[in-house]
Amino acid sequence: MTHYYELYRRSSIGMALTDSLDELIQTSHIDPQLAMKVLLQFDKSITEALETKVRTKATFKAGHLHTYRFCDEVWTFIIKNPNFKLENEQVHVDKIKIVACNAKKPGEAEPTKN
Amino acid sequence: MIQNSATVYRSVINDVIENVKKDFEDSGVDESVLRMLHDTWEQKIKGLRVTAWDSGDNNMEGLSHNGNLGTSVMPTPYSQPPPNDSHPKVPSCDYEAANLPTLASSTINIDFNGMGKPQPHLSPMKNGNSNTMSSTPSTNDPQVFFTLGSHLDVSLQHLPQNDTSVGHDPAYHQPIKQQEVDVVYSDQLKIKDDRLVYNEAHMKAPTPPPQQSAYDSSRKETRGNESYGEEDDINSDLDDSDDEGNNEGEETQNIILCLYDKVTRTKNKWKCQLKDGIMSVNGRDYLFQKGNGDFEF
Repeated sequence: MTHYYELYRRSSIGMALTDSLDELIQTSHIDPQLAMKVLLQFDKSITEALETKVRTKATFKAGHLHTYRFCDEVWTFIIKNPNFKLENEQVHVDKIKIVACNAKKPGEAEPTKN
Repeated sequence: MIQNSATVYRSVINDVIENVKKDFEDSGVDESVLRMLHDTWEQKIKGLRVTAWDSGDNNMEGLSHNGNLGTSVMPTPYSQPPPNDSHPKVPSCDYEAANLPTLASSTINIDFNGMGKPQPHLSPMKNGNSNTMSSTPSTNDPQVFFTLGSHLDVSLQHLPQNDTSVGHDPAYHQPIKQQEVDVVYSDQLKIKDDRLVYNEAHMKAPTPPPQQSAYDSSRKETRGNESYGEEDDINSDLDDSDDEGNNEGEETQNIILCLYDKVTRTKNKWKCQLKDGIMSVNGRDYLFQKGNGDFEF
């Protein structure tokens, strides 16, 4: 079975799921083992959804790279005053953190197309 | 575009729910619980207001439901929520949910009368406030020890009261307290201790599921990967003031989770090719397939 990143569990939809599972465990409706399976399925579903269902392009320009870090194949950037553009929409923000995992997973035969 | 993220989220929810159906069945968990998961999950996302959820409603098929989802304990759309006594494995107890201890001990006859009645807690979920529930395990239920991750400490602190109120044999108190003291410094041991507590609380429930630690550590990983938060928590509060200015709070709110194809640097100019991103900015979520970044250090 292909391995999927757990990265997206940190997103709002992932946190909402984790919280929901927490509640179900606390109320003894499910056990942690089952919760684990749900999370693994989530990793898969969100990854596939982002790959197949999203077509938006984004550009981040003119930001000041405040911090960069590369550890365990994960890039982390902190960017100040970036200028985001998603399709036609401009998004203003003072500071943003980017956490990026390698698109080419170790052991993956074919590198991901760009 | 914003609408788009709602649509994607909704399809993810439905996809996950659909695909774990079998796992729920295999674990003997009622479909109504799965439905509850669906509703709570959806409700929480709505509550976060990260996406224009309602505007995407019409596009969606099947499972999507609106209205007072969170308050319905017995949801409808699944073909037929089987009555609870349809699980032959579950010893007859007078609480409704097929919960973990009952399942775990299905082969052993357990006398629940000796320990007081575990509370089923089937009351409607509190919605829209994710933190309240998880941070306050306020029950007398011994199963509250089966919370996750960081809540273990809280559970331990409540230990004596729990035991007393549930009416355990006082003999159980001694070893537990001892362990409590012993394991303060080690997370792993804490989990282990938790299992012991769980065991004793349920009078020799056969095997505590090892998956708890798996689940735990995976959560830790998820969090730890990017924030290094876990180690900091354990050792000292000095570590809290991390280099990135965590205190500003803003930083954790605006975040992009994505994959990178390429990251290059020429002198102080950085170029990043990102993809499959979830971007959370100013309380809104945006999704992107590709993202190019040009930054100067």
